[in-house]
Amino acid sequence: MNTILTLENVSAGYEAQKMVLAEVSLKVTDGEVVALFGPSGCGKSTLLLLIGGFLSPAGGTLEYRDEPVIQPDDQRILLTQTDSTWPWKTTLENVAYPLRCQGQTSRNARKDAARWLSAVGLADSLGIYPAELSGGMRQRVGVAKVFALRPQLLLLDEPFGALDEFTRHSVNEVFLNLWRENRMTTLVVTHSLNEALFLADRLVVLGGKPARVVGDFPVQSPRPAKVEETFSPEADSLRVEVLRLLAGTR
Amino acid sequence: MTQRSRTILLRVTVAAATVLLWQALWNLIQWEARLFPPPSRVFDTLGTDIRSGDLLADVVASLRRVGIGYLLGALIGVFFGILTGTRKWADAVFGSLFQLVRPIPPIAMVPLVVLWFGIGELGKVLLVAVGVMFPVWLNTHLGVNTITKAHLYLVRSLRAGYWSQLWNIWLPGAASSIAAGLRISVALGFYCLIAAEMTGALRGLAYQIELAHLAYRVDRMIGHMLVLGVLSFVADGFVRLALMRLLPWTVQPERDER
Repeated sequence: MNTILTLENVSAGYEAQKMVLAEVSLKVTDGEVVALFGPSGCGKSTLLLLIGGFLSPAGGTLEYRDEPVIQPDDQRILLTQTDSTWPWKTTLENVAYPLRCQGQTSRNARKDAARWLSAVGLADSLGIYPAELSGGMRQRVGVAKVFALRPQLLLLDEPFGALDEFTRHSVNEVFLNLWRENRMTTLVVTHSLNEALFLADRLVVLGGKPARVVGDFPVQSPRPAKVEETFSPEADSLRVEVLRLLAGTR
Repeated sequence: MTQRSRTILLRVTVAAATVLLWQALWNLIQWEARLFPPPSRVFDTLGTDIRSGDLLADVVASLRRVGIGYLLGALIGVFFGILTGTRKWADAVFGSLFQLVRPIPPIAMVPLVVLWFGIGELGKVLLVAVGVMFPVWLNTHLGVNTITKAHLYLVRSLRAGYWSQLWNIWLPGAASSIAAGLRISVALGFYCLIAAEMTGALRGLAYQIELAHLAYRVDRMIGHMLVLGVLSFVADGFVRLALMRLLPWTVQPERDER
């Protein structure tokens, strides 16, 4: 398997005295889904912003496909927790506009957008503005938007964190279905161990202040098809181990 | 009956009742008709002005000034609002400059405008444009700044061209704020129009009010004031409808909900 993302001793912070991340080293291989787990405010989101190219590291090296990350581009796409649908565009246009930016013709972009939206179950809502959709539907628009762009690396920052538990499971399942067909490398920041165990191949635990990688665990395979299947004796012992680890680094 | 037609009926009733009460009060007291004219006299004079064609000519002259000035001010305001909202250097240069000039009430500029441009059309149009420009600029600028980071990450990753971003992100993203600026500017445009016309003109509603004042024709003053009020009200409704058409994802408040 090829390594596509390499972080070596990456540190980041807004002031020299107050570092958010210190000496973070991480390798991600092609097609992997890595969950980044840790207490809130520990710098997980900062890490995604660095990888996306929205922030520059204060030290260390950060390479994507053997090139240093300098600025954002459409190979690495970030989906955030806060609603990222554009309220002034219809559901269809929310997905189609980014495709036109990638150089597709208007006609193809709309056709492609409609296909992705029906894949997330929104075929009936193409002409509707986001204000008329529920929170879960809006995040499904977000999922369609990022998958349609076919990024090589998906950066998900607690994408479904604002949703209630039930809606969240259903959006997670929508996400996994699309992921199974497309298999793009994904880094997903989450506060929820259940979500991490459901979505990821690998669980990277961040902790401490400033944060570093304190644990790196493989998650059970084969991948669970339903949330209920993440409750196995193996998964439970992983849960216990992760929680103990975090308690120790606080 | 729908809620909307009920509201309209209520308003028409209140307006009619006010006029009737005013007339009844005057019939009762019959005092100083020249200074406190009854509605019958106001509407008589208004009828005379309509039949002579004077009123129409004044309405056209005033609407032309306020219309051209408003469009000019709105365009300049939106242009600079987007510029100072999206470019740091532009905010440093124009933003600072505008913040210095903005607090000066445009009406204070009237004598200067007369000195520089005389009492012709250009000065009046410019005065309306200045009055309209600053609130539109400020609202556009603030509107651009309210577009959240979450909305912009994808834009940055896509590296779309400036014009594409302008049409697809900046203008529509700031649109509800721009719309608010455009709505308040309708009334401000009329304020500036009045100030500009009172300094002298050949035609215009406020100019006629000033003339009627000199001739002690209070009935004509009130009649023209009413016409100005109706025009400003209609203009606001027109702008509101236009914005509703242009910005289907926003809600345009009615005048009384502001």
